[in-house]
Amino acid sequence: MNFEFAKVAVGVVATLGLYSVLYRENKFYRLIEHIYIGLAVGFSIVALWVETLESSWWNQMVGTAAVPATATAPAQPSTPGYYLFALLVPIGLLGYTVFSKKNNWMSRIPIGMLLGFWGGQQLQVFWQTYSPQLQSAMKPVLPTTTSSVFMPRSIELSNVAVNEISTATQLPPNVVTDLSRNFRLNTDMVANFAQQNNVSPESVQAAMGAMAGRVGGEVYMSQAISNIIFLLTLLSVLTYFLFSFEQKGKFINGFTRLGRWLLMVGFGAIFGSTVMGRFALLIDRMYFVIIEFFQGLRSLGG
Amino acid sequence: MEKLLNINRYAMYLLLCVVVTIPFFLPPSATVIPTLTNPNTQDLYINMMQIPEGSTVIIESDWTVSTRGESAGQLEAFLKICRHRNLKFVLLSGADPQAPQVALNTVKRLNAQFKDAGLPEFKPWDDYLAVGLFPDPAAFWQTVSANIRTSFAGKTAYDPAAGQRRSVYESPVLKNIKTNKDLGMVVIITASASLDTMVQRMSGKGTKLAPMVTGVMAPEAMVYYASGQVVGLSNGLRGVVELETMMARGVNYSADSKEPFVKAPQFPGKIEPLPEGLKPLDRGMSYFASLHAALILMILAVVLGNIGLLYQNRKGKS
Amino acid sequence: MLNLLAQTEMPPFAAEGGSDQVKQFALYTLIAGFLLVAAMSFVPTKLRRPIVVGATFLAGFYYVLLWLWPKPVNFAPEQKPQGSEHVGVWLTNALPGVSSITQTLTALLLGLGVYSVLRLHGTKLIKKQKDWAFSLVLLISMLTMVTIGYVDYSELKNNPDKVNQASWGFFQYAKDFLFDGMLQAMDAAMFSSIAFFILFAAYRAFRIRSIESTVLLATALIVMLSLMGLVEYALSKQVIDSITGGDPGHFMNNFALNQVRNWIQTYVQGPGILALTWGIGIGSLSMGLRLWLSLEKTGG
Repeated sequence: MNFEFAKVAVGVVATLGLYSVLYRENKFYRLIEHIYIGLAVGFSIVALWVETLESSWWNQMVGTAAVPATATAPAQPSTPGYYLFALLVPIGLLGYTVFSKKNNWMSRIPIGMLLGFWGGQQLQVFWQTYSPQLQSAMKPVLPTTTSSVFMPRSIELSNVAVNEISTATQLPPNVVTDLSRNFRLNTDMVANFAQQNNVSPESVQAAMGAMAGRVGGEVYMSQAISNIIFLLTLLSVLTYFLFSFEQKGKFINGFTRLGRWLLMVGFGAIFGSTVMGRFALLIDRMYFVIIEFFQGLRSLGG
Repeated sequence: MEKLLNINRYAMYLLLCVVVTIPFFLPPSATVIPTLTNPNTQDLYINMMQIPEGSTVIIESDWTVSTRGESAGQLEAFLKICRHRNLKFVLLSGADPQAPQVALNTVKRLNAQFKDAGLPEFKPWDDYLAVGLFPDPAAFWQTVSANIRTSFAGKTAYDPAAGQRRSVYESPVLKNIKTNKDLGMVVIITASASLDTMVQRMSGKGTKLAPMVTGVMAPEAMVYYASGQVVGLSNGLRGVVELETMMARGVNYSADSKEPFVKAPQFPGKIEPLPEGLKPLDRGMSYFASLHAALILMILAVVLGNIGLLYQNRKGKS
Repeated sequence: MLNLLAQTEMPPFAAEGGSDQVKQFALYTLIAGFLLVAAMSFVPTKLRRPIVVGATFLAGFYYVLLWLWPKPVNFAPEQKPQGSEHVGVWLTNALPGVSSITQTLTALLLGLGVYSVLRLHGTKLIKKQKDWAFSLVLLISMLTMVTIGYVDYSELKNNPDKVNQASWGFFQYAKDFLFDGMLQAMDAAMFSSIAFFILFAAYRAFRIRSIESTVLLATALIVMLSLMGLVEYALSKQVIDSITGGDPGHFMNNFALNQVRNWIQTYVQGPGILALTWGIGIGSLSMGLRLWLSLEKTGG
């Protein structure tokens, strides 16, 4: 039997065994489940040495010896061994005193050290994670222009601006002015406009980009409203989770209720995304059980 | 009506298995679904395609086969970009001891695909370094941003030309990396919260961070994208399909002067599609039709459940 | 703290790498460590808490100093530190060593979990309790994985050529079979089975009973519809294009499914999750400080 197919076949049997619990708890499921836990624990024990203790403890403690040069490789210097790392074994093993009635206080030393390492990092973690988010949450809530509610398709350009765009894009100034009356065009519209004005579509695209950039710098009414909703959501959800004081009064109660509703919008979106994730995993298993298995079976038959 | 409202759970399980399986038997052309791309995936892809050719990137691969349906497509998509742009990469994991082996298996699988297509394979030592698990990724990323020449201290890899293991810093992949700013990008493919650790230590330090996460983790990761702490985001299976769409159709690109299929207004340039040999439409697209079927079943189930509620309420009132 | 800066001359508490001397020193240190542990069992009760608090504080103090002490960014190895930079560079360079301490302690404490598994299933097996045969299966598969995993690792270490499948021996095939063929497939099956429960739970419990559940359901439906590429393409592109005539400046473009989904994601879902994570962040910060400073009443 082909090795790759044997792997797939045993994987399919294991998958079906674990799925059999969907019908009801049974011995076959229990058997596969225990093999699974055994293999997972076994792999973790191997990884504990291979991926952690060997490199983080043993190699640090005894260092590495120098390797002389060979015909194909240069010499490698030795690295010193920090023998104090040996102390970590008794310190780590103090954790096992948890089973001793007399000395179980000692188990708090390694656990306390690990908690200390974690706790000490939280200041940096908080600042590094949340300060950019705090900054980006400060959105403008007042419109900078009232010329249009939504981002417009036209822009009023001063003579200076027309000349700037004209120079940058090589379009004649009158064409730039024409384009500014409707600069949001699709590819066909761009081609027609370019043909009518006897210019290249690329220069029209470039001028459109420049105009969109100028428009994009403004905060229109629609954007301001969206930003207000953003801040309202942020503040109301934060208020909903404030338990440091008793939430009393009509305003606070109404605001926290709003926070709860808006939070549900977020949870709805999370639900949709999670469902996609879970289904993707099932699809992959079905692909494995049906397609990969039968492909393997077919390859066996030549 | 009563029957529809009390569907047996086993029937539903079976139905789910059947509906996700049927699309596997459709001809491949029938499962290529036109998909619009979201700004977060566009930004991710555009940034990936702008990494200077020949640069070195770090890939933190923190997934196992348990999320192969989403994460494998993401790693495969980025590795194809690496092949296309001749990027060298360091492959490591920070969350799960099983993850390094799974990532290596993916490289092996893609190498076989490249070989069949007549493309050069990824060569260990010269093109990539697999440096295994970093059980304390927080400290690792902190040293990357502070002094990358200490981050891989003690890590060795087999140099086939020399016939022995040597320090990874002597490999062509890391030889010219003096600071974290020399890295083309840091990509993380994760099924856990390991993105948080990376952002906490690496954001704002001059290296582009590009996360590709599972659907479950995406809503949280979106916060990092919105605040500019990461350059883009690929969200689960849908994210893979969007990446594959851009790889197959390009960005702001149209071969026949028609409307480009993928339009990214935030990007002034254009990106051509990847060559067919790299098989841009791959795992993501082959699962996508099944995802449609499963989601339709889900929506139907929810609607049916609510019709049942209305029906029972009316019955109760009457 | 270890001096990891000096590489040219031998740092304190270090010896020539790979030498017999360093192994000897390590053995002496180990013995001294165990003697110290034995001596600690005589520590008077009132001194116990200060010892635990001190160890916790010192561990956290390193990271606090590392963050607060000014230090040069992207310090190149050939550059020489000046003034207060010495401390900053020392703190930065000590990080891999401190990280190694964390990892070693974590790994040693993880052994507690392994010990629990062995104790639970070993007892079941020895006392022939109910389902002892499953415990036997578990222990056999664990031992098999450990044996094959270690032998495979040591073979690969001594003969790196064995990385290539063409040079594989029995242990490489066995490890691949156990890891890729069995463990990974089981892992994936376990995770994927949640999809069945989600579907059935949604059918039975995802009901419009209140304003909250209605809002949740409506958003979930919009998101699920927009995740389907074909539906989103039809509703966002074809339907909207037939209304707007393909005009990108048309007002109706704002109501394309993908635009609605993006709007919800950016302006409602985003700040909602932001508020949640900020709350978690503040909680983590205060918990971190309480643990580091041993302010928890039960500590020590």
